[in-house]
Amino acid sequence: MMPDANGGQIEGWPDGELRATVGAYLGVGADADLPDDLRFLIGVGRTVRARQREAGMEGEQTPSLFLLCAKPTGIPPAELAKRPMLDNGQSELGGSFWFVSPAVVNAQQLAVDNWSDEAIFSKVTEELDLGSAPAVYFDTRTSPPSLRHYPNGLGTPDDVSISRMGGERLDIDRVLEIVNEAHLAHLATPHGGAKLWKSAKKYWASKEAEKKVQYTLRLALHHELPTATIRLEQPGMVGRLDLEIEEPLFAEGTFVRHAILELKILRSFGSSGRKVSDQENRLAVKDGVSQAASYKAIRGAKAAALCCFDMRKTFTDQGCFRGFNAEAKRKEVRLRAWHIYASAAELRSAEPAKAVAAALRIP
Amino acid sequence: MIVSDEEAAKILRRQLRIMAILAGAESVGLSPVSSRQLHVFGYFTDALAPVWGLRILDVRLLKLQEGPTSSELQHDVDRLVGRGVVAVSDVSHSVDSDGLWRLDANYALNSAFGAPILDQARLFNEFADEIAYTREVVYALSGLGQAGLAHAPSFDASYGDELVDSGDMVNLEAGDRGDNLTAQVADRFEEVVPPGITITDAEKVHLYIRELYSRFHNDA
Repeated sequence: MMPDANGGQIEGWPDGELRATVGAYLGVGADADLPDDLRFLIGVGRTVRARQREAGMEGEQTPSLFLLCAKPTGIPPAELAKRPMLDNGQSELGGSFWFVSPAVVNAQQLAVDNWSDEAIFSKVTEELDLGSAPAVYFDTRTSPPSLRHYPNGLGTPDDVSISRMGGERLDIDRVLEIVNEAHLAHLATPHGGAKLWKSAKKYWASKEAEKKVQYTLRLALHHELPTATIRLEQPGMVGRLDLEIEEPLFAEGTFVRHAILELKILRSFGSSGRKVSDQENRLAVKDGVSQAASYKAIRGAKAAALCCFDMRKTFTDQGCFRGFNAEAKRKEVRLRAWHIYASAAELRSAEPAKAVAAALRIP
Repeated sequence: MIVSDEEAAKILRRQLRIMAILAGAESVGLSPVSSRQLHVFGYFTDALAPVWGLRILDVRLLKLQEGPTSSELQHDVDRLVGRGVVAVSDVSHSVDSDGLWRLDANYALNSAFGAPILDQARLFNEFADEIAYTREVVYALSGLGQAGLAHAPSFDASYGDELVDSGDMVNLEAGDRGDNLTAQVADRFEEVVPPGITITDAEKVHLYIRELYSRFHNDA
């Protein structure tokens, strides 16, 4: 076998065949650098979506439960069935426990008779002693079907987040709501843990601030949109976009680009203490509008937004967009700014309601 | 025996890979790993290494009907067993279909020793990358299941190359036209994804293994 001159196609490995594999599995492995518990949620989302694609939205009538525990103890091996490549959509999911790894590909199945929530919770927490294993419950009884994610296991049933699995249209408002929640929980003050400051007291922003915001948003988007692929830094003619939300459609090999998020950090000072001028910050906003519009058009995304994270001393709310709103509206780029405060006290002073919500972690 | 710095570095990398394979196998519920499986994991970790920008450790290996077998890898497994980092069980010997005596055993990482070593190694970027990569190969291969894993090498672009007979050497070295064929096919996915998408190295590894799965499935 030699690589041939046919456009780089490799003999014995025709592009058409590789393309079919891409069509069936695009996005697999894109989560490799994410934390295990998040990969688990994404993997379950991908598995359920593949099943819905294969069997139809109504194809699964009974709930199923996925547990992040690839090798459960205390279950006789004879009761467990091995199910390789679980995410190919071929296996009926309903009425079973699925013991999986973070990658959710190689699974062990335990069929459960007479499914009821009470019996399921009791079996996991008491009989199997897996109450602390992260779990995702695929609930087919809701309309649309939903994923109930228990990051700390069924033993902590109140700690749950719910994602709908009906193939709903994802609009930009929902995306910005997720960004807003992530800002409140992780970015608004140094207490969020994102380490955006070189020196918060001096208002020196970290050199890595944009990367850290990007990573935080990526995690948040994955968490809330488990069937989506969040792509970073996709190159194009006009530069590299920051975040793109892509999702496979029900027809194999097709996908939609829901939104492109262009991120900008506005600073009073750089990481070495250099003063950043108003002009520089305004230029960043101007470029951001233009980049978001270009990426949206070139990549055929449904929507685009410029998300500014304002680390400047003075709180201006959405004031950083003054003079750019008309252009953004014309180019169909949504504009949103969030302030990054150097201390919780500043947040309390500028946005008291948000400070209370942040303290309570209520989005 | 005195070994060169380069050889010592290679041994260190190989041992880390073995530990990362066994840790990954534990994570996907495949532990303990049989000798056959361990060599299959080791082979693919080598063959796909260029995709991730990493070095191939065993460039040439003998093609056997039983599947990939690396004496260097086995030697390092034995060293790790000797140090208690790897636990061995069910040891036996058998004659394989090539008429060769073969050691059969099951291996698992002794977490008490192995996990701290991997944790320490992850503090260094180059080893962290190596460990992350190895884990991803194991994750991807785990989707094949036991039967698929055993047959995967025969569908692989390099090991399964019909021009290389059993008993000949499989060469994973880069040729005039680039990386070995396995890595070339994995890299080729970059060219066939929908326009505007740049896939990650991890995606290439997963897609390549999915491609083998499709071939195995269609062949079954």
